[in-house]
Amino acid sequence: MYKYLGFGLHIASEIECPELMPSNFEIADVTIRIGKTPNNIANEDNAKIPFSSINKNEYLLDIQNICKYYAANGNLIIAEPADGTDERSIRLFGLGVVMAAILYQRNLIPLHASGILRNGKIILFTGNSGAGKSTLIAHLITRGHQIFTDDICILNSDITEKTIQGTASYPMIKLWDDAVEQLDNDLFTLDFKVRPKLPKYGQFFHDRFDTGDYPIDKIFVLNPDRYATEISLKQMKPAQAFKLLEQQTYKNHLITNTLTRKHHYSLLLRLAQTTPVFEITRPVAGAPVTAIYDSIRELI
Amino acid sequence: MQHHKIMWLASYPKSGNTWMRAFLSALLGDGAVDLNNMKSDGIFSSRAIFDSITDLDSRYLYDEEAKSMLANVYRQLAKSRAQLNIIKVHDAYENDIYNKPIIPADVTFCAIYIIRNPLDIAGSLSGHMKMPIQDAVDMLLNPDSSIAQQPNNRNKSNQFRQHLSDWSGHVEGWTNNIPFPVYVVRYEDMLNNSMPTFSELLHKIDWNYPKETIMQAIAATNFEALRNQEETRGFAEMDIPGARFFRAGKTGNWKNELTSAQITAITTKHWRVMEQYNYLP
Repeated sequence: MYKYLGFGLHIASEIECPELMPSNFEIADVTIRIGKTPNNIANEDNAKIPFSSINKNEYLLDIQNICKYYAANGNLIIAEPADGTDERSIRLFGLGVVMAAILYQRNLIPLHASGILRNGKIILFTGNSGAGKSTLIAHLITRGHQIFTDDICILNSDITEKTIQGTASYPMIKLWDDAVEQLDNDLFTLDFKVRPKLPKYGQFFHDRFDTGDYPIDKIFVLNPDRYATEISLKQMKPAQAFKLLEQQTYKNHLITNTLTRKHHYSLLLRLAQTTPVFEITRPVAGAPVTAIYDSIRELI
Repeated sequence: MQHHKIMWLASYPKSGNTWMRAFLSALLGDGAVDLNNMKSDGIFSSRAIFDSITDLDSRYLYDEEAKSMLANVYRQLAKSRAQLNIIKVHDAYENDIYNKPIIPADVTFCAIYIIRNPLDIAGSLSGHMKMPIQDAVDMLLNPDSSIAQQPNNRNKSNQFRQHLSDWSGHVEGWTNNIPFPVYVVRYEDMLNNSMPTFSELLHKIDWNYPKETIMQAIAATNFEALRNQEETRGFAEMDIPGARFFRAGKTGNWKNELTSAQITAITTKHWRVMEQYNYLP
């Protein structure tokens, strides 16, 4: 078994996962196996046959002709790849939606966000896929900022239950080839394709990966808007912030457990009430990352 | 009979698909239509629909993988929504890499195929895509042409790549030997002979509306009305910055737009289908 740390969890895996942080432990929180997945699950709450079905403790996903996944009890992932599926593809989906199901089964809340660490606190950048989260934090790295996480940040409360903290997912940023070109910096390379025929490249930062929990200082929501003609920034009121954060909770339709849903709302409510949330609205095209950086540099 | 089914609004781009959608939407909205809030259910190639049904981030899928899942996506969509779903589609009617049709016939109520004179499409396409008219002519001639394709298959667009085929290939693909009813409507008839054309179509799809409502819907969605809406409030589906979706809306404009070489190229390549639909000059 390979042993890793990712999403704040000890992960044992039958396949090598270079994206994750190597670790050592006796008891795994989550085990990834390659094997046969069940054909169906009992008492499903929501079935989107033939793609997925879910109940309180199990999730079944069939990415046709690529891989089937079974995630159960917050501690087991079984992947059943189709003939010819490469390991990078198995990991890409496994560490995304399938891991999200595991996190919800463990009552953990993943926010769709990338982030930097500054003065012992996290600044998060959230937004839909394609909003520019990864490109922005990659640019922040070139400005000397310390990378914390890409794509997913796991939310939790500290021991006093007053402060909302974040945990990083794993030490890799995913960038399209044109973003690597736009960044034009030796730190970013076209060496590691996340899937063999996709021009999206993993950028490892294992040497700087911080596995601690840190309070969240600020959140920026990236919003590409087809009607926007310039970049604008505004601070959200808590009610608006709550709504935006709810939308940006990663694959939140996978929350089936009432307790987890309550926990989700309670975390987001506290986060929206205690943390400044800003919306960065930008034109869909013609808003270079440097200009977005300029709009927020005073705040970070 | 129409519940849990899909009615496809199929066409080559710039052939009147949005107009048809606006008309049906106006009917469902008691004669009024808001261009940015039409009562239809999206486009076949939408990543948002695909992602919500599959749980996946489709940006990580190869084009051919996503294509091969689309039939099941729309089976699930039809199953999950009780009403008749109206879905726009520009893709050529074809098979996926596993040799199965990308359009699921088992959940299809029918398709409305909107056809327009390719000589007029050229100018409209050129205006919409902000490309030289010769490129639009080449698109109509090229069996490999597609829309929403991004450089190096980057998958950043909010729609999947849509293979169109050439114009004749698109028409014939959607109208020959299809395993569900396909009702063909000519753009030119929608424009010049609106009432009988729309009434006949509604009769075919078994939508019963009083004549007055149909007239209201036609008036609410005539070209000027839709263009005014786009000018005053914008059109959220328009994805080319600075271009206008509703341009001229005329027939026969090609006489002012195309060179004789371009006219010859289109009519030589497409004469058989053009003749069938009375489009030859």
